[in-house]
Amino acid sequence: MGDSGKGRRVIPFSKELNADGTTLVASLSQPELSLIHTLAAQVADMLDDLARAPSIADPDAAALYESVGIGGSAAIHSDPAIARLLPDAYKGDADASRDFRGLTERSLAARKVANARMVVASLTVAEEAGGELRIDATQVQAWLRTLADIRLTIAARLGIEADGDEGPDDEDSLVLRDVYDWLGWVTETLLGALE
Amino acid sequence: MTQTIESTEITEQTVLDSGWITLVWNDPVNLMSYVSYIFRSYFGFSKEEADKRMLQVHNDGRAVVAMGPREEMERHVEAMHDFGLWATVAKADA
Repeated sequence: MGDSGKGRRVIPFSKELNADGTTLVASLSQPELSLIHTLAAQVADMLDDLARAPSIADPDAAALYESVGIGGSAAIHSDPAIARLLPDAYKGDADASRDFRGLTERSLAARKVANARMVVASLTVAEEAGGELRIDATQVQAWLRTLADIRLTIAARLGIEADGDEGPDDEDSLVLRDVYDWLGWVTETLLGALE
Repeated sequence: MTQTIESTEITEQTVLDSGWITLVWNDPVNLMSYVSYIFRSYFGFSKEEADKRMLQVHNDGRAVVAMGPREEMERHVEAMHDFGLWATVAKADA
């Protein structure tokens, strides 16, 4: 499993209890806000096509298809990041994996897109509030999942496939690696504030 | 005797229904604290049990986190994929 790049700056999430439940509050700098905003939007864009219902001419059939939410590709995606976010559900059983993907892939992609957009929306509010991020229990769940999806995407781009992999050491990769580690810290502090 | 027959049927039914497992696989990305949190919040494991299975994933490369009917295992796998964990369904005896 990954480690969270210890020693880096922690976003100090604090917990507020109110009538609607628990809200987590953090103060983020402008670069931090816009970095997560950009990365979450990229995850949403990357999966958007897979999250859409196929175009069906008959509007009644299209509406039914949309409401049921089933659909998916015939095989795992060739892009390693998408393949990691929408993985096979059976190991060593291509037929069962294909059947499962055909029923569930589109709705899984749609939930990931919705989570990422929820993160973007909460960051947009925070940007207007001078950097104060406030996330409720539902948004916390979207944040945790989206942070994982962003880090999995970066790891796929860096070729981090096994424990101990560091990724390439060119300058661009090192910058990306720093972002990856920092997002690990954000996850860690979010979880810490939830305890 | 009726009771014996009934209990035999129940046993067979239980074996058929619980013949599937949900496996979670190790990856180099997801944090140990996150995996443990998922096991607690989604499966309802105690902190001790969640940490035990998380360490099993970390050290052995995988851990069984649920056992039961295939449809239920597929729902769990989908939920794990939501979180970004790699999970698979398998036959219990495979």
